[in-house]
Amino acid sequence: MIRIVHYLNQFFGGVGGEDRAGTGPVSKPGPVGTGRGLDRLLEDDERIVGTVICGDNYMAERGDAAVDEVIDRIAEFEPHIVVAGPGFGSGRYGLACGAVCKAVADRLGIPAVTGLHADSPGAAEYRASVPILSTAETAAGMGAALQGFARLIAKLGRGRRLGTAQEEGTLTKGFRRNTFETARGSTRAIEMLLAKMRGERYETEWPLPRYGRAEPAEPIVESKPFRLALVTEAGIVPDGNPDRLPSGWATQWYAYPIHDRDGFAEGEFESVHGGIDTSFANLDPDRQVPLDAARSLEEQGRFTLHGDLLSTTGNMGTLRNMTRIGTEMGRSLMADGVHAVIVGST
Amino acid sequence: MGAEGSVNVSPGPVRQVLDIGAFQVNEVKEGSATELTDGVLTIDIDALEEILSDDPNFAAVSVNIVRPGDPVRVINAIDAVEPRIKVDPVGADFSGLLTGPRPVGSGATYALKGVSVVETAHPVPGEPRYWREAIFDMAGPAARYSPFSELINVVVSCEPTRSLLESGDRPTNVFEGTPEAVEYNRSVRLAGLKAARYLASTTLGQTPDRVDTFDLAPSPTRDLPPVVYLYQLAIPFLHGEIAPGAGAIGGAAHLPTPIHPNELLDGALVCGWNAIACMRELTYTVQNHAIIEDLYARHGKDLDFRGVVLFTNGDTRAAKERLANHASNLAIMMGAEGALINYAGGGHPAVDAMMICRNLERRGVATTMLSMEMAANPGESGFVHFVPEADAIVSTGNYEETVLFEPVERVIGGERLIKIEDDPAGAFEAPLAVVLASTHQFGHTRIRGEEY
Repeated sequence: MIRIVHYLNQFFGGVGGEDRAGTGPVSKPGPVGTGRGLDRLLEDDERIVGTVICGDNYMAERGDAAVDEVIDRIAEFEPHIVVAGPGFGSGRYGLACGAVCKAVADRLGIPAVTGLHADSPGAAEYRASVPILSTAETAAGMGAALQGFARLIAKLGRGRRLGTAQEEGTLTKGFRRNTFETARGSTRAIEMLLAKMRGERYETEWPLPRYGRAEPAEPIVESKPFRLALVTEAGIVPDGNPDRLPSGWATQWYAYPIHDRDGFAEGEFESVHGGIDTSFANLDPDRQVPLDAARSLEEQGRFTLHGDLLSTTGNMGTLRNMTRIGTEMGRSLMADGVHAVIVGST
Repeated sequence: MGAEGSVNVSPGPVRQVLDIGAFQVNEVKEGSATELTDGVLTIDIDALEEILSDDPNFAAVSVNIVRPGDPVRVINAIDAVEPRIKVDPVGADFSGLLTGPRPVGSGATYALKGVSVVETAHPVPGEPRYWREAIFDMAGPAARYSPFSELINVVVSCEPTRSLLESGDRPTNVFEGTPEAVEYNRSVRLAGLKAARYLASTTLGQTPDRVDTFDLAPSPTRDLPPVVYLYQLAIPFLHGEIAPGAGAIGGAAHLPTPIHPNELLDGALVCGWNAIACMRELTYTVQNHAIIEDLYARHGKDLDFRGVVLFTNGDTRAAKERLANHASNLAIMMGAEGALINYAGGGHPAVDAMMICRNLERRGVATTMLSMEMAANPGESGFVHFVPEADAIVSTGNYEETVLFEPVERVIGGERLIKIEDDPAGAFEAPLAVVLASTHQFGHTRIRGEEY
């Protein structure tokens, strides 16, 4: 028998709505909520042996620690395969589904699959590492998603490899590779243009990147005291680059203390950015990160300045890495009570 | 011709019609005389080498014949040229370079098909070499990436003089070389053009296997969708000069210009700069311009080809806007309801090409772009720049993808590669960027990028 464990959030697991989003992980035998529908579509030798449910906020706020708790509970059911969601277009739930699936594969060494909308944050974060069934944006697509899950379980649960994203209805990894077409590029371009002019269906060979929209925060109210942080992607580091921040393709960021400085002196900090002429920044790093100006405004009582400069290199940064770095920096700053940030760009 | 003193009245508007007489070449061999007989091109190598050696920048010139399937690697390639000769009017070969500037693009031209002249030359000290590596294999796994592995190539290898090799100057930037290096490169290019004309002269007095007629005559069928091709140039020579004030090297961008496609097919535009090999605007790829050929093939059948607009790129935002607005205006003036736009490659040009796409789409002209991709790492989009209006793009391939070169028996074009430190005859990995015409922006090849 193929043993399946299902991961759900508090809503689809029947615990409650947003008011119960802080609920920690719980285990239940057999299918629950969404899982009952899925169970009816499974083959005779496939069974949902258990369900692990966790609140969206619990997962979002506790990160890896919460994922570890969920994985421990999943492991207790001794599954052959794990299914998470579907999370559709949701933010926190989709990210949790992706994180659980990735951890199942990494830690338990068994297949795991989720279902998300192509534009959801979870899809952006996990499409390269987790098989994700392409779903509708809302739970209106539940029926199709569960049928897709049943199809993928039948393959993955028996140790079969998945076919191409198009064949399986899954999201692509988002990677590019070269292939050979039967017609040359110029011929294909004319076909595409004529289809477009006739109002017929055509498919671009190179989809534009999807950038998630970051909603701007409410303006800060200057009458109240607030805390300002300086952040840069200009690769500003202490002289000698002690952490070896790369000049491009960065995957890390670093916090450097600036609480005891009124500005950057030449020779004490430098820019390691590999995509700009850094000579002006090296002559006076304040022209890249305005510490001197920020300090003088602080002295006028306008705000308090956060004690660290958060720095990475934006040059050649992949969208995936930069999204993660931005999220990590944001979490760190919020945990430190920062209200506002100036990000100097190159 | 009208009688002397009388007015020559033509029945209707004057048209620019070009007949290209194609002579299919199935074999190229060395012999005691240069001639074309029943599809076999025989070359008097000594005579050709002597003609080409007559240049003060060369110590020597050697000519080699390489065929598809030969275990040969050609390195340090500069340009590739299809052998051509003008037969009507005579003497207008490679306007501005082998002759003074001449009107070309009409009358008749003879061409050797299935064969190409490729010049190779090792860089001299004053030459920028950042983008100079250009390789293709005639056999093995890397061969399929270059269209030149499918042709019989007459490789003209130019050796610089000792004084050029000993000149110590370093290039001032990645585009320009020292005056000596610029002249040396010009000599290498001229050698290729001369060889092309010399080989094509074997066709004189013979009947072509096929005549391709290029005629932009208004379509007798009405209501065909009117299409204009917006051709972004890197830095080629148009009638012997850098055309038209190409942004990156020529300073300020000149205004885009409409041009008859026949002029481009007929030798007015030749390779003028050693751009990245995968996207280099080789004379061969302009003579056999894939987009123009394919538009002509469908002209009067399912589209109405209205002509070409040449554009380059601006160096400032204002220059780019000026250029993009003007190029869009020209296309609309020519009646475009649809437009093909190719992106020449590089950083700046991506912005100008995308601005034109946006302008035209916003004014109701449907666009399709041809673009190469630059994704060096998994998860990178590969775009330099894009606008949301660019919703129809044909990918001509990701040039950052690594290609495996396997050992070959023979290398032509020098003893060493430029940036690749491995043995040129051995096995090495390199990005597709170094393979000649691999991801060519005219859609010359069948390579494309796909998502997985």
